[in-house]
Amino acid sequence: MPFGTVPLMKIYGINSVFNASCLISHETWVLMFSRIVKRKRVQQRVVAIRNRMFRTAYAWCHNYSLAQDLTQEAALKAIENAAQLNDLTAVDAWIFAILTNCHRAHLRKTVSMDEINEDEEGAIESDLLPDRISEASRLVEQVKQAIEGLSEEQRKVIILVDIEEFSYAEAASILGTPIGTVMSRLSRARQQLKKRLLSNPITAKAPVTYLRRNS
Amino acid sequence: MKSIPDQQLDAFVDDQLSQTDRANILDAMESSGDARNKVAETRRLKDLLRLAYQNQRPNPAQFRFKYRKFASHAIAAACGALSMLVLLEVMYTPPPDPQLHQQAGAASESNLLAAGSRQPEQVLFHLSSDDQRAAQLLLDQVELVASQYARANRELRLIVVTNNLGLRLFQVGQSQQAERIGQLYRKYDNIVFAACGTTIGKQAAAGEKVELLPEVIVIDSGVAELTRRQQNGWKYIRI
Repeated sequence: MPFGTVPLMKIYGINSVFNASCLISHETWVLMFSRIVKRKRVQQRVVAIRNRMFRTAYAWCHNYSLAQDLTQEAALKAIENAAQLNDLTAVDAWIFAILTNCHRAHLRKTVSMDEINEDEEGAIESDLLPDRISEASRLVEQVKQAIEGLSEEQRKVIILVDIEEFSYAEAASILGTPIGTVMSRLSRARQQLKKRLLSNPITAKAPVTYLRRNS
Repeated sequence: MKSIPDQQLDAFVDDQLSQTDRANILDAMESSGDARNKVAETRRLKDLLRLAYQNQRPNPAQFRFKYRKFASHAIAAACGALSMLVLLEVMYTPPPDPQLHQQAGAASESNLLAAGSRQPEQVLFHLSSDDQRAAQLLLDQVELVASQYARANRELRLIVVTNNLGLRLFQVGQSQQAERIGQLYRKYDNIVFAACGTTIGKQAAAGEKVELLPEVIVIDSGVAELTRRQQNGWKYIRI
């Protein structure tokens, strides 16, 4: 019982104190409640998909610490602005849209960046045997180089669709572009990557064996 | 056979087509080796990309979300609500009772009682004999303790438990202290007189009619009550 309520109850009767809740309208209660629900949901989703967020950010910028910063920033922004979430069924796409905005803001801020090679920090953990590791890491390097050869927008689309398995509609809402633009960018990005990777002996014949995972 | 546009094939690989569109593409692929090649290439490209990025993991230490901002809002809201209540309470406090001042004056005399914790004192009196002197002594002590605590304005809870032959103290017609128990009961609202239900049951089984004073409540078992309350920090006094 909060301090001070007992004498109040004695003076006015218990009911009049609790009836004070009627001073706040029904709409306000619903609003307050939905804010809490949204916030909780966003918090849960952010924790659940933060590895995916990081992977996407990393694929976009190929910079380990920047990707971490972007993920962190996007996660905090998502939780702070959870009240602006409109569709509770599309939380993931909404969070990725925030991540996209964070990346855009970063690109606007910094025209050129000093690249520090941090591959050791972000070393690739692999399930492969040692004799396959070098092969695999060469392959990864080739793919990364090819991705870097794409334009910023093409890269974003192909990462969202191919790696994160978003639908075209979701990718369009994340990037804020029409669905047709998503499709044409994706198509052009794929043509360019095919030209580069499928003519390359390392990537063209490499054994691609891993378990599909939806997270 | 007209060739299928690349974007359609992409949508097919990405599973973005409706069922009829899908069926159309599958039909067309049967006759077109070019389309089959393109689909295979796109699939391979997808796999390559996934392979390249599948093991990218953030450093877990960096992801600790803190909700400090939210907490500060909540604290502010709580403070606001609390201050409202305090304000209301201050505004509607009834005028002070002159008797309270007298009691406060008396309280300063007995420093011994006033000092110490503000927890209510809990005392348990137990009577199990029908000795009249013992009964009188018990009620004397109960009254003494109750009056002392009332003067010191300290909180007190007091229970008198009787069982076995001590039950006679609470029985109509048997008790010589009935009037005094009534007085005590009316004067102090923190004294409870409790009779052992087991004893009453035994007496009723023996054919004796048990009629208790109106101030007395019946408890399950005197002994159980005594031990339970002692475990909860009550002070036990046996007469």
